Amino acid sequence: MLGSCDSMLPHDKLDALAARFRGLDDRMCDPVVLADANLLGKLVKERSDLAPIVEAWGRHKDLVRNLEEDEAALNDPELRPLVEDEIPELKAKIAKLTREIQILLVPADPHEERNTILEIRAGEGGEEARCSRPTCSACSAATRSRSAGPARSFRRARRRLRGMRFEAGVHRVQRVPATETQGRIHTSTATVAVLPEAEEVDVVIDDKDLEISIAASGGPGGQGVNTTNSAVQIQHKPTGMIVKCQDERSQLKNKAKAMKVLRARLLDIEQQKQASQVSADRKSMVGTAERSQKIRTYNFPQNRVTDHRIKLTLNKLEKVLSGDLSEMIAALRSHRQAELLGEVTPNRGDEDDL
Amino acid sequence: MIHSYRAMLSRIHASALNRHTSGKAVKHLIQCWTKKFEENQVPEAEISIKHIISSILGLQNVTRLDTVRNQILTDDEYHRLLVKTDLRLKRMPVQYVIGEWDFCGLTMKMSQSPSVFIPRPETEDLVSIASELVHQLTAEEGNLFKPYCFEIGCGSGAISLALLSKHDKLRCMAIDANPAAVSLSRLNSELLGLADRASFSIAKLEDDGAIHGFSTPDSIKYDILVSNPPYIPTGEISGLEPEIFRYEDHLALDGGPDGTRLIETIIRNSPKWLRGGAFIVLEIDPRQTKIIQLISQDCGSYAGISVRKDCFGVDRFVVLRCK
Repeated sequence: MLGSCDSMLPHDKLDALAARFRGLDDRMCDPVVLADANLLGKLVKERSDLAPIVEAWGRHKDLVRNLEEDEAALNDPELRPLVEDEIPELKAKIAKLTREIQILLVPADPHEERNTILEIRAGEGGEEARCSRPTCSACSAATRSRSAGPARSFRRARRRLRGMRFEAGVHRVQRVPATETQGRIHTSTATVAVLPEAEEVDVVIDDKDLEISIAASGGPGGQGVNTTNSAVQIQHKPTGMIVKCQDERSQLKNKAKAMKVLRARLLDIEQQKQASQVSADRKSMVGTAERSQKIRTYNFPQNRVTDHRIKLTLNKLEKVLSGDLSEMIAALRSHRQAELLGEVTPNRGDEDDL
Repeated sequence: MIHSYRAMLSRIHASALNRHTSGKAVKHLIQCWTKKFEENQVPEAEISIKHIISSILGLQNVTRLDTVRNQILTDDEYHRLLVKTDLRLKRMPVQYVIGEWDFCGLTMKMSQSPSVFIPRPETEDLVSIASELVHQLTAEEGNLFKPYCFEIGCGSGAISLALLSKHDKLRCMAIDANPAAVSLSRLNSELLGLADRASFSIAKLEDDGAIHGFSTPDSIKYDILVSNPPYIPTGEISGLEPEIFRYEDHLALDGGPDGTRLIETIIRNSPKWLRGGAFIVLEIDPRQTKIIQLISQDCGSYAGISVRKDCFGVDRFVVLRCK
């Protein structure tokens, strides 16, 4: 009877998480740990991350045990009436809790908490596209506090907003522009790329990765040698990069100079990597901004906005344009969770429609 | 950039007064003198002439020579060059030829006559180690701690002055048996603005541990002792290259039969001059580590001894901690 619920949850994994949770409690009482603020902070965070799922698993086990007891009691004519009503209730609770635990098991999006950068560009449709850019709901939400300004073909905004990643893609606007004299509907597009704010690139050089050598004269050296040459060579083993410095009169200075050059070169490589990653991310997000591949359509004459990925149509264009995306985002989120749990096939958007 | 601009201005000024140019360009001089030094078995030929020319032109370091390779020396500069290259041909160390050298980022004057020992690159690592220990002592004693360092055999003042430049609250007392060394150290301390925290005295450490010509009140116990004492075995002195044998102070090199005479004296007598828990950092010859460990164990005054390597990967320093 319980089989269908049970098999949907990974028991071993959940028991392991619960054991870890109890272990963390013990460790946090250790005076050595209490003295180390850094370590303590990490343990506290891990504990609070685990708490919801461990607590839910505990409740799930209790409910399952109650259900087992009730089902055993069905055989007893005296107890039967008492438990008959309870059983369906328990099953429903267990099903709901199972679902909650499944969602908790889905790993969190690491980008959710970071600042995001929205890049909004006019796509097809020329002048109209530029004018329609501000109508993207993403734009409205992101630039709420900004004035309209002259129509530019590119705008960037930086916000820490949840759910912004759902805005990435091509938005289609259908409306009768102010300049249209014959009431025809014009269609234009704007593309939105959502990129996590670039973290400052920094290079950490581990001493263990370095092979530092100074040309030696051989022999016992020291007082027995007079030299003006203290050329230093540093090899960075992971990248194979070699830096040499010999201009300075002091071996320490040569070493410091060589480290400086090494750091600068490694930083340059990191920055180039990051730049090309961002460029690749951006490309994959917005495709070619043709009128197809759109994720959302805003139809002004009919006062509706449709998200093609979840096939959701809201006749609340004004509401959405004024920045209230909450309904849309909630629907997109549960669709995404369902996607992650493998219950629906991913839907990237839509070809010609509506 | 500014440095070479000023140098250029002074050259223009100089050549305005003395319009005679030698007709010799820097790059040709480098080529020709490198060849000449090599023909005469002068070691480090190219870098030698580069240091000499940089010094004459007032440049900060040898890479700047690239920017002036077409520059023509004035007559006056050229004559000075000839004097210096002649000395180098006679194997005078470059540091004496140009009269100065850098140590731990500080430029210090060097003296050839009377000669004062030239600091070695390895000794920069002694300063790093001693500096770590000063930090450690300060951590143990608290922020109001004013460490007092004692140096035996200061030479040009290199070690003490380098340490003083890294630690504001440090004071140094340094001695040397060579009066020229004490004068040079005082001069360098003035030039570096460190004279207020440094004291230099002429004094000789005898084999029995007495220091003649010098006395500290019994109330003063130093927190750290540093030394690069002579550690070359007597028998090896004559085999040293001419740069050292002909020109440097042998008293700064000769450590007796196995090179450990002064090292042993220092280790056996330091507890008199140091407080409990003080550190000693000595530069040594890598072949001496074993015997030094035996000596310090024999004393019974030390809580610990460790051997540290220099930038060339060779055992070069012993660190002892007093009980």
